[in-house]
Amino acid sequence: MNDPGISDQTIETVIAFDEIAVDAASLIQSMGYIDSACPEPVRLTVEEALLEAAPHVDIRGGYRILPDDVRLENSGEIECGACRFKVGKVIKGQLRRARRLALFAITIGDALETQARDLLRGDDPVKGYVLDATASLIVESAADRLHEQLRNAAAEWGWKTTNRFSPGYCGWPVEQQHILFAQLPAKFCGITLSETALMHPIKSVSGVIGLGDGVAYHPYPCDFCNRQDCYKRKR
Amino acid sequence: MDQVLGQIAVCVERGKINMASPFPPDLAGQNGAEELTQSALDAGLSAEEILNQGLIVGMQKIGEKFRNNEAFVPDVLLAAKAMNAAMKLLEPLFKADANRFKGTLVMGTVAGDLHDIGKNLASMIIQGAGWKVVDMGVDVSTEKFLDAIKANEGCVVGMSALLTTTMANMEQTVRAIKEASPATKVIVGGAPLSQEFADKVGADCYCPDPQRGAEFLESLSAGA
Repeated sequence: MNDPGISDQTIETVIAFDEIAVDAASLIQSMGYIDSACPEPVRLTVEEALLEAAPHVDIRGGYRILPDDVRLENSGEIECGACRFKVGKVIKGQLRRARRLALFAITIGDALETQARDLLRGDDPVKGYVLDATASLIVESAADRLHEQLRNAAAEWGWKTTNRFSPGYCGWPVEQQHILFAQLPAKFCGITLSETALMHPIKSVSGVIGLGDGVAYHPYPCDFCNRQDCYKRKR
Repeated sequence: MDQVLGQIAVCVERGKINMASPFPPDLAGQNGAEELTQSALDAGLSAEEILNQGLIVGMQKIGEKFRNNEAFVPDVLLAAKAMNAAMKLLEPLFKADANRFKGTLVMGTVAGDLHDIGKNLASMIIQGAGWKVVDMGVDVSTEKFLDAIKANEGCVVGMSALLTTTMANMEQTVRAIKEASPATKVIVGGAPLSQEFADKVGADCYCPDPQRGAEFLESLSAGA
């Protein structure tokens, strides 16, 4: 295995709205509808939400590549420098060939979620729900874009990236978010954590991505995670 | 009389708010839940009859469709909007009657979890079934649930979790409630849950969908 001698590096970036891929069909699908069965008022609201979302979105994301080698512990933990993550066996399995870990976080700000919440509680809950779903889709799509940037950077060193894994999913306790954020600059990308490890703004994604020449990316993560009770699997 | 109540139920189920609402297209230009409720009142029906035999029936039907994957969150929200429009006409008539609610449900998403769509849907359907819902929001600690039980004597508690990793917090909260207030009924829901989990943590009812919660609460009020 080659080691390009990657040093500790932290990247913070702004992603433009037109760099991410969100369209009406994927939004309608994310709400459970088969496209043709979506009622007209919902379809119109989706189109309206996509037009209105752009000026309310401020996408800021970044990552830190830790300089230390990844060590796997028998207990289902992984260790990398000062981080000791109890990721569980599913994520540990996916990171077993990783040489380095990138810790990442990305947010779209709180303007859209605030607007969605006000509408949900007020006069137009349908639009509020659609805006909330739009915001969720935008942040996931923005995380895809950030992942792609990291993948391109890794390719320059002859390395690949794993899928991204977030505290709260695939058996990784959400409270470990505190360990992750402790390794990032304070208020990284404007994100803060509550005592119960929830991110603010809410429409944010954080986690780890493994890097190395022997790692693999799986387009269908449910194939390697056997959790039948995961809500993402049910969707 | 039965006919207008049936029409009200259809308008709620299909999210037809009033005559001005262009949707659903096959009902365009026709009276909606609002006008039909006014007609029913003008014809001498009581607010209680309209609520129980019209509005609640419509919400029940959309709840059943949601359970069967024949309707999705926006459809339930449209139905709730139609019901709320009608309720604005009925509320002044109910104000004097504090006993119009079948009971109180204290509802919240457990600590460490901020997913609230499922909780909100359940709240709407249960409200639509005639219960008062005290919504505690998301990331609700055990202490906050216990305080709410004290503040709402005789209430039922509903809680939801969407993450497998916050189910542990749900377990802790249910056990604490059962220890502090054994008579308090607890209903739980959320995508990763199962009947087995609900039994293990000592919950009284597992709700795979909001309608199941409404049915369980109905059984409590029927037995009271």
